[in-house]
Amino acid sequence: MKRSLFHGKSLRWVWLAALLPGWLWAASQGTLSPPSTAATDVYVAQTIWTGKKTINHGYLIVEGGKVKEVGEMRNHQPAYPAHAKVHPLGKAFLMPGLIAAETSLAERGRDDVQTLTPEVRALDGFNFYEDYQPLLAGGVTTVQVAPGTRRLMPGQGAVVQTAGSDPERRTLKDRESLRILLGSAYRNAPRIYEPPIGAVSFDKPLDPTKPQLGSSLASVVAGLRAAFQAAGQPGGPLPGDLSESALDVIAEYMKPGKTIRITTPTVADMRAALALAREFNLKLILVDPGDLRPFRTSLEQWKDVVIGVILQPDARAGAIQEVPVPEEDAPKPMTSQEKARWLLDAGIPVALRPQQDADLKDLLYLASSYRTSLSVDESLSLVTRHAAHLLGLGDRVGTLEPGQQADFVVLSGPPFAARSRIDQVFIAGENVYSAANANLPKAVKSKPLPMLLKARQIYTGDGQRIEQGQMLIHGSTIRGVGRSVSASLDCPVHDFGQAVIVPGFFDMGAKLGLGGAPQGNATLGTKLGEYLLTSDPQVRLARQGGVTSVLLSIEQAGPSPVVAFKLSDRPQVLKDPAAIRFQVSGNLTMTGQTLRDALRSGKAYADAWTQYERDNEEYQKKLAEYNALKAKLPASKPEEKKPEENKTEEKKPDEKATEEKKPEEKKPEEKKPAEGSTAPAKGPSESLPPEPKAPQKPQLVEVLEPYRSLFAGKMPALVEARRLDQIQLAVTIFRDEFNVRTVLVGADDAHRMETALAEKDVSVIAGPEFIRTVDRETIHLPLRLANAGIPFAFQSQAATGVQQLPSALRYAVRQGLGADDALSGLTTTPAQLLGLDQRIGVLAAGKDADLVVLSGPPFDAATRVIAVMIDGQWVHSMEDDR
Amino acid sequence: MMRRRIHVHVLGWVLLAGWGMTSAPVAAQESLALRGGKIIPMSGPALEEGVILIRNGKIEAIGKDVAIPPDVKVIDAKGKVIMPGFIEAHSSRGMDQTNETNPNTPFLSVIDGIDPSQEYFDECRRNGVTTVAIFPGNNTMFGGQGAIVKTAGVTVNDMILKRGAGIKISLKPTAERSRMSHMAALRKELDAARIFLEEEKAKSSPKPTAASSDASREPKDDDGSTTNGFQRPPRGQRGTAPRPDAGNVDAAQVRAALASLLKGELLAFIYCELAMDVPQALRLTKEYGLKSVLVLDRDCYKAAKLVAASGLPVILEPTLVFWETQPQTGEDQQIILPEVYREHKIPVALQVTGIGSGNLFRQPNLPPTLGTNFLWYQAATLVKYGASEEEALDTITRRAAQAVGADKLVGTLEAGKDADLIILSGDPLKIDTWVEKTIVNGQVVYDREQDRKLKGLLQSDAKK
Repeated sequence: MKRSLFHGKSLRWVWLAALLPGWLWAASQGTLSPPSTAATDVYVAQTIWTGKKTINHGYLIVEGGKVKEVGEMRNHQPAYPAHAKVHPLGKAFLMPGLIAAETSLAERGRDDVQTLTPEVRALDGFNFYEDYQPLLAGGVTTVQVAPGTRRLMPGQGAVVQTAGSDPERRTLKDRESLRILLGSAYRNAPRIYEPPIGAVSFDKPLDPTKPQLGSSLASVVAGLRAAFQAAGQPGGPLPGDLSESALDVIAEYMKPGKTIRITTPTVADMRAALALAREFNLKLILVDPGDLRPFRTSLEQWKDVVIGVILQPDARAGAIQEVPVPEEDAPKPMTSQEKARWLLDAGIPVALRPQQDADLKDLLYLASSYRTSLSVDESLSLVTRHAAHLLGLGDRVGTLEPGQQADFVVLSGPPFAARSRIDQVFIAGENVYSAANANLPKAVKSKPLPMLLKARQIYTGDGQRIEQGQMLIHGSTIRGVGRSVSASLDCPVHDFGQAVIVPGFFDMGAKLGLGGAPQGNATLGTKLGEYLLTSDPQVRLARQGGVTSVLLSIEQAGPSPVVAFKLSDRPQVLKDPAAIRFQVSGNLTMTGQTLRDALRSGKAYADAWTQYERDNEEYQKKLAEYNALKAKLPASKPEEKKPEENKTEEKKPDEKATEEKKPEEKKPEEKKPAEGSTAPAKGPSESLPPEPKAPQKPQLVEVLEPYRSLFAGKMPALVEARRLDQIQLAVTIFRDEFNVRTVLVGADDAHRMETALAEKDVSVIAGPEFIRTVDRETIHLPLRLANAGIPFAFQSQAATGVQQLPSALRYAVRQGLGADDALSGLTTTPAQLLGLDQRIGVLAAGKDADLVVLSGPPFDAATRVIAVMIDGQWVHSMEDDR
Repeated sequence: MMRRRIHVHVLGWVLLAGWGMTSAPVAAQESLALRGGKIIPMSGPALEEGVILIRNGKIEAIGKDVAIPPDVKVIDAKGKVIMPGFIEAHSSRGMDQTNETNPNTPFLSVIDGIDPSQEYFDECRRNGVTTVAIFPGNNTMFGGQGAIVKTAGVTVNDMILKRGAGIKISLKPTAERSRMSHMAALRKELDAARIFLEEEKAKSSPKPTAASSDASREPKDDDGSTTNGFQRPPRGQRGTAPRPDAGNVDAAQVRAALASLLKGELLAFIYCELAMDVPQALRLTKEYGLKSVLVLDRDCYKAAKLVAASGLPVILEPTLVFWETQPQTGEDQQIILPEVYREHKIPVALQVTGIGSGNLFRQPNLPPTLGTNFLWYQAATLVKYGASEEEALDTITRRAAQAVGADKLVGTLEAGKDADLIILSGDPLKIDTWVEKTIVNGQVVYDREQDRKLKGLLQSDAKK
């Protein structure tokens, strides 16, 4: 018993002891440990460019910060552990992180006075804690940082990554190359005061005592040669003021596997660099080489000493720079692109360095400028594979081959395509940047944010079809339609792929908006638009078929007002009244009489106003003449009073002019100007003509108001007439007798007098039945109307059934109606009939953003409505139904 | 009028203080007992109504039932709080000049520059600071050697607790230099010292070979990764070590000082101005096997993760809370250093603002931001941002002693330690608490009753 107890205790201690170190270790490592290496991520993208090849529909498996596998996702799933996280990237283009082969990201502008400072390390000047988001936004994951830029040998470069929390891990190479800058700009090192200056006086002036190196290329090369010689022979004398430790550094870079980075702007510099390299068996990276033509025949031999060349693009991204005028007979300077071509042909890797660090964010764009002489793969290699190779990091970064560090960039599309954007950047498998939540200065945003729609086809409604079209919607308005419209990069894009965008449909007769069948009668004075319900569930259903606007009227024997409105949640009235609706039914003799009476009184009213308007216009003209005349007359004393009176009069006609717009309000004042106008007539002056009289304003009758628009031709009469006799009567009365724009509603028998209708400019609203069988004859009304040249639109005479209007028309199309005719009957024709074509009916800049996204061509069997937009707002989308 | 009167006060006080000190018996190790009150020893739980017995400048006993011998002078501290004197882990005051203009003076010692009569020490005693680690300022590459001193004494020699506390290294480049050449110069000096050390060793050992000395120089833990120092090719034939970049300074002295740094005899107090200096400091620490203490300026919070991983002692700069503008978005952001360092579980030590607490009297028109002039205020700031009171007090006593390597002598109230303690009128972190008495090495060096300067200040205020 005792024994076992003891045993248990000891065991417990052993267990504790075993646990403790592990726990301690975990605690100490907790803050530092990398993301657990077991994590596996799978990225699936439409295109993966590994740096060597392009994989369509590829996958990339990342494990422990490294690329584990990359391949094509044909019909089989790649094998990855069950716990792996799969990231579908859709249409994205995935490529290795970009590498800038030279930057000045270490401190600059504070170079040493000494011209040779090989001990200086650029890494010491690189701030790991600066925000490199602009670079990351440009997809740059790895940069070389160069030491000073103004001395002959400013020090050693380093290669670092642009993000990551641990500086140690971010440092890919702490001593990458030894930098030498030839070229006249770097030769004139400052002179050094040595020994230190004592007292300055007349006899002992302040004098620089010691030039560092000569300023000619010859003396610079000689100085370098001496340095390399001394470094290569331990024990020799120290040349110039180079210290032992400086020589140690130089000696280090003369070893195999190490590189000297040498900037050679002229042919002579290049020659000198190559000569030094051959003499001391150095490996060179040539930066900014001059003209390559003198080396045309020897370029192939460069491979022994030159491990790569870094070129600077001739231009900055988006900047305009002056070009020097060449000398008469001087050869045309070689472009950077030509140099790249030559070097690649000679088998020498080429990488890029932007002109300024500020351009690092546009590195990919700069690479694209080499497309004039390089292939896409070659251009991309300049900022990936080649750059990695010449930095000596070809086995770590620059490609997405298995085993490489998982540094990659996710682009929204092909890298050199317009509008392609860098969406995400990964370094060692970790997401270090994503455009969605970047903390960067944003492009000035217009509010609300515009939205870009893309589709396979856009039917603009005016007969045009735009293939691979784009549309920019801003607020409630279309701002652009075309193959490539202007839109800021950050504006959300809705790419509908194979979809077709058409204008929103118009239903010329719906029973929507009042929440059910209207009770009682309405007079023409009724503004139906004021009775529309907001957030009507019927409306929400109705618009799912693609109908965005409807006409609403009251079915009654007498004339009824008609309102046109949009099926948005808060119904937007397009025009109220949009038309007057009449009905020809029942006893035609009676009906004819009633209609004629109504029209007659309407016409009388309208004519009275027209007359008044005409008279008033004349009056205004005369009054102006009169006033002008009066102003010319010398003001005589007895008439002193009159000008005063006139003044008041002068005002009044003005007021009247404004009154006309709102006549109903000003009625009581009507008489005054008339009285006033008689006053001056009493005492006419000798030379003044009688003052003109203001015409009498007719009484305003609200019930008759719509007739003014009707007779002015500003709105049509919608005349419901179905049978032939009804149609004939309607045409007689409306067209022949009263000559108003006439749209027949229903018009089932219209085909029987189609020629007459066409002649008399009568349009038709067909529906809700489009194809009928009468007396064993099938009548396809829209088809007949189309062939007869009679404009026609459609109506559903339904509430929620409005959504089926387009599908009902599909049947009509199947039975022979042209799809284009059917579409214009749903879009442009209604807009024209109602005089709304300034706003709706077509998809064009400046028009209302009412549109329907269809999965295929309109009226195709398989076509469904994907989404509906009214006034720039999505009011329905297929996802809603799910 | 007012100001003039204060000046007169100050003058008088300084004179008086000087007199007082010279007249104080330097070695008279009288015994002292503190009785009653709450004792916060910082080495264990607080004692209510305890007794502390002090003999020969040391704490002889501390506890509830310590018998007080009859020959001992007793201070009654009933209702008061007794705790160890505060320790400022890093300060560049008390000297005639903060920074040396020559960038390369590792052989200098602050002891030669400390002036015990400076008002600074006066202020220290008034505010309960009994020990200060004085180091050269932050602007000199190798600024010199710091020392840990008590804040009371007639001559510097009376004050010294530890002579060579460490060498101050600043990673902030001097004048027109870039960080790169600053680091290159730093390395050059350290390399020279390393070679010097090897040569010394070679002289003493019988058969020196270049290879063996190389091996002994490079620590075994070097894993040979590219980020570590590359091996210098043996260049033994050329013989002498390179001259250091010392200007008109004696090169041998520089080398000797840096050699003791490399040998680990001196701590390296590395000042990091920016976060980017932190990895450099760690790299130097690793490459040269230094025993480092990090003196971190405000920007260094960005490298907190690295600091935490290094496990090195950290001394924060006085401004603990400040505003920063995000470069990309232009948004202002408040940075609270105590929170950042707590998050990373980094124990920090504190210092107070460099302006000098004397400002309270010297410049009455100074803005009312004097809080950071006081160690207790700094500790209270820690409490404000989430630390416990014990932890905050620990920071300015025991932990500070540990950071500067003086924890065997000061920092807590334990038998055998230096009798450096303060008697407070109340809770140590309360704003209305006064330091009643400050005792250094068993001597009462400050007594509020006798503080005519303070009284004068308060009185003249009252007259207004």
